[in-house]
Amino acid sequence: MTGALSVSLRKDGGGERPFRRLLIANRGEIAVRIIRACRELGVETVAVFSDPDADGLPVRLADRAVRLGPGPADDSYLRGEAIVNAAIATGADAIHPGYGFLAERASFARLVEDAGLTFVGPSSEVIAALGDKVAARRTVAAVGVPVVTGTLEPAAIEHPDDLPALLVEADRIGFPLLVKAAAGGGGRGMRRVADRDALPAALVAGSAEARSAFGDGAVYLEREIRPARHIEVQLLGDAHGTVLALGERDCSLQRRHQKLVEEAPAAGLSSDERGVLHDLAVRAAQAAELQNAATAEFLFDADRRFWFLEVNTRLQVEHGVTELVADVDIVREQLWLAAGRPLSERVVAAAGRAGNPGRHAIEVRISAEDPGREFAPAPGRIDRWAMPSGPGVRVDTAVGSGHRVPPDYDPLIAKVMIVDDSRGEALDRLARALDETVIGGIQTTLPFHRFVVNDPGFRAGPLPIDWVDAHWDSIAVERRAAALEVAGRVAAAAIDARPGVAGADAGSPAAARRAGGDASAWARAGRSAAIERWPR
Amino acid sequence: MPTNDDRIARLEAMRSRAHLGGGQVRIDQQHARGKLTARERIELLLDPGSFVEIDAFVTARGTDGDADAILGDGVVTGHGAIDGRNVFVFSQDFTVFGGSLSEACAAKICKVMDLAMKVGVPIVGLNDSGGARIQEGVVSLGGYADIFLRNTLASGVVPQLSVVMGPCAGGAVYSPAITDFTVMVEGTSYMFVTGPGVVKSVTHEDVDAERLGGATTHTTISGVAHIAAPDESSALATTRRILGYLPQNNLADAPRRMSSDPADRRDASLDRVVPDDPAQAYDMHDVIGPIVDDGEFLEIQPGWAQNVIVGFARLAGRSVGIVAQQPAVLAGALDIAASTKAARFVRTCDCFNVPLVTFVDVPGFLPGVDQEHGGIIRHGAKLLFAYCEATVPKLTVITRKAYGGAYDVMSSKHIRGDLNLAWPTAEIAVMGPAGAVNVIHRDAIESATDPDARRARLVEEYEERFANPYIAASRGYVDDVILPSETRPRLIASLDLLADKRDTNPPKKHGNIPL
Amino acid sequence: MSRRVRVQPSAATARPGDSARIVDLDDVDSATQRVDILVGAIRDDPDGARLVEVVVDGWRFELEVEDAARAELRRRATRAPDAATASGPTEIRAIIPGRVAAVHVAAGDTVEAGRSLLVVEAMKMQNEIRAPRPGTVKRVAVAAGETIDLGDLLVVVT
Repeated sequence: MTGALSVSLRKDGGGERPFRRLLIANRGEIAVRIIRACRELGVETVAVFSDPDADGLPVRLADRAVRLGPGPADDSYLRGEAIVNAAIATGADAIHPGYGFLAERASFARLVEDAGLTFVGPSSEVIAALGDKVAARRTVAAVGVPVVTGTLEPAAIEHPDDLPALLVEADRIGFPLLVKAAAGGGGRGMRRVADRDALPAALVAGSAEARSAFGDGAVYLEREIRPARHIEVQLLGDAHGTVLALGERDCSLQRRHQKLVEEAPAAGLSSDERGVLHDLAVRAAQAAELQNAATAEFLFDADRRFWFLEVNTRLQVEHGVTELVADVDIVREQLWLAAGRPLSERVVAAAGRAGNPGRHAIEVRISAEDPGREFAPAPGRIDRWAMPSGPGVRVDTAVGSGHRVPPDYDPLIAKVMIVDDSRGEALDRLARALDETVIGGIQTTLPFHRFVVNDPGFRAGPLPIDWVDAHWDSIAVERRAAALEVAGRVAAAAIDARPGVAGADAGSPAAARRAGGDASAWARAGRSAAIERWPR
Repeated sequence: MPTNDDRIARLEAMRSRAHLGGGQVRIDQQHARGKLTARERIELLLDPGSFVEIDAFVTARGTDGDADAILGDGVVTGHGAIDGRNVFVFSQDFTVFGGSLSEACAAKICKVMDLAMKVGVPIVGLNDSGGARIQEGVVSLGGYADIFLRNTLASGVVPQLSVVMGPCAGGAVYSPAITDFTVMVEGTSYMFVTGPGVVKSVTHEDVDAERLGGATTHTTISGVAHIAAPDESSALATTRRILGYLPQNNLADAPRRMSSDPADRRDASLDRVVPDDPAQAYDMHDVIGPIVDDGEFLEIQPGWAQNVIVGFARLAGRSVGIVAQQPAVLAGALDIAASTKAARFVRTCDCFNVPLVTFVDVPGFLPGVDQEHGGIIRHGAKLLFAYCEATVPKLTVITRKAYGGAYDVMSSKHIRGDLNLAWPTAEIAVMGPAGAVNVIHRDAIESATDPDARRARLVEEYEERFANPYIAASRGYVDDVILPSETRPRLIASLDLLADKRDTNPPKKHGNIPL
Repeated sequence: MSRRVRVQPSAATARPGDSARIVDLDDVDSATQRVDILVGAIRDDPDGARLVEVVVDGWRFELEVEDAARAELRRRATRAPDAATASGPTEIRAIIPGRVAAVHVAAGDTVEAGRSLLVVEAMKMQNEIRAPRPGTVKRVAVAAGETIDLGDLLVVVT
């Protein structure tokens, strides 16, 4: 697969390639995204797959593919040892974890390192250090990065005797506050506590959920900042200790901590504010000795202050909007950084422009979820699939018509990304792109995106984090009812337009005769019988 | 002189009158009984707007020109479409003299049956009749016989379906009895040759109509009817479904309905469905469901003789008739009822060109004095005869036991099975290991110091040597031993291959099946 | 065919509050509305209704569409499930002599048609005795371990 053709595709590295062969420990669109970067660099690729993904696009695009097991993630994409063994067996020299699954498990990064392979991402120590959210808060606070007011040690919920002390601490932080899991994000283990009476129960519930999600029940307290926007900074760091900020993204449009829409840059920030934010992020990353790609997440409050939340030590789902604005291929940079190269000139130049990017990109996540039913997963078979294209449109996806969306994984099926000169123009272009988007067979989040892109509030500027939770469900009921009204009339008219019923007589004698065909077997047999009886 | 407009108005008035059948009062009574009228049933049975009525202006004998004669008499007849395919239909009208059969009624029914025979189109009869029109006397009896004759002549030429939606008593029962399928509505329909009153006076047995001849009785005890439907809507929907698996006539193929279920789908659950313990039962539905398209199986006579399962399904869109042992009932042994049930279904499929797929797990014929005295020999022979005679593609899958004569009967290679497959769990032998050892090694066991231990060891040896499909495969009695999960793709590939199969029986008036 | 059509979301896509509606075809002007897709028939139900997938503004519906008059007929010809069993109690008797290996139901249990009631061991084989129809178990006449003869009463379902 990687003959002369791949050599001619190489764009940098002067004919060299970061790795000879790379295994992608992931699935779906992100696996395709990574394979694309590898092909452009002349790196051979090894895909891994579960049974329901056996016919998936990554398997088809990769040079080789290794089966991991049945559908459930525990039996497939979370089998760290099996994945490392697959890399060794196929002669891969590096592993890219993508996002989710094993991407932020320090134990997996260590397995990879111990096997003598390169892990494309920060080192296992850094992942471990930043994966402990409480420790991360201490680390960045020590270098002067403002962290959201809260505890810097895990809450000692094991000892009931410590509860009074914890209540004093909670009073200092102020209510409402959040109980958060030390080991992870994604809203799991998180509880909102309105007053001090609710605290003990929230601690127990949050801790239990954290234990089941991350295997670690440690939780900490953090003030709830409201209203706020979620703004994060894309970071790249090399082995020489240089860390640069490629720009920030606003991911405030979320539902229960699941991002729905992301844009870059964050609207309404002055270039000074941007500079301050990028500087905070770089400082935090350097304190943690970060390498490769990572994202520092902040809250931006009504008083225009930034508060550090956490660092994600992986490629983010929404990295594409930064790529479009900064004109950098982040995955390609990741591969070179993992191979030991210093940050490229292209990255340095992009970082220099980050305060004043002069372009605007928006991504909407199209997921197999029902926005009319609290975004419940809606897996199934896609029977129609038309993605937008044209100027300024990028679609990252691994599915198509006829594809079955399995119930085992994240319901994200496509990322539609738009770039244009300004936010307003980008929104117009997004509206156009979403009009071109057609998906049948399964319910998707498309109705939500169609609504948001035309919503005057969103067009005026980013909405706060809790906007979807507070407003969408009632809007959804109304919009769905209106759509149902139209659908009913269209369906009725479609039935009316067809003569007869049920189009099932294709192939019947009557249909054959209408088409000028031969008589049916019945009539033919009757005729030949009549002829045979004719006296000779 | 009447104008054109007058004449058209008269036609319209006559049509409206015909539509009212026995009149609004009787229609209301019919509705009050929770039943639809004859015309409403036709509307629900056929594709919307497709019904074309024939003989709407026929009146009963001796009413020529009477202004108040009931137009159409006691039956509505005509043709229409089901899923776009033509079908003839007659629907007895209970609002006209209780749906009783007059000479005119019989003539109307015979007319559509004759037409159906000419054009090669199925006939559906909706029965709701109090019996013969006694006022007309023997003429009415002749009417029945005319219908029976046509039912018989049409048998095996075009599909005939009966839906019993009210009373059907006395001689009238023999029309549904001759047709290919009978569907009954629970609670409102009954069939019997002599009613509860006569039964009481003759045998002093106290029984009500429902218990004597209701839908439940005929679908669980007597096997007279094929499906009991909970209501009229369901009965008519079932009729539509059955027709969807059948061709228009005996020269046509059943309609092929493509589904999105992939032809090469392998269901891993099949590899574990047969229990490790040979004495443990399993449900053969768990074998059929994962193999057929979308798991859709229309079971015929599901409540009667449950030790054998028969019904329709599709494989890659092709209609197939499935016959399967049910190991969960009587261990899947063949008894009198199961043999007649399966024999009738095999012949139905054969005369309408529906390929047969047989799943075998049979320990043998059911032992017992009842069975022998009841004529298991004669009835078992029906199934053997039916399989031997059938010329449609015959596919056989042996899932577990195929012992003795029952092995031969169940679509074996020797009786023109086209493709005979065995699962690795198959045991094809003359009898079960225990029985075989007792016969073969009687002397050795009797003379042993510990006969039980000796017998156990011999059984083990026998199992090791013979309780597998490989002896039969080495003789070519099974064409291949396959993984259970491969069954669907293999059956579909074979059906493709056998789609144009030609096979014939010697010319004869008809065979002499042991009835 | 009348000009009135009954449209109802199928169970797969229905939400609480969705109801069937009757659409008068003479009022339909679908051209004025933006419709993403109209996938013709998904399938035709055996009872004659047709299932159609329509996506409007990203919202996906599976709609059961049927001539209104016919839908009304069908409603009238459909009996409530509990009224369907007018046939009184059904006695399930032993069709084979043997030993009761297991009893799966107790008096008062609601059973579906085909549900396993008990297991009879005979001829070294386990035979499941199944409910011939849906109903309520009125009586279980045998216990596990009992030996039974042909024709013995096992279970009564009402």
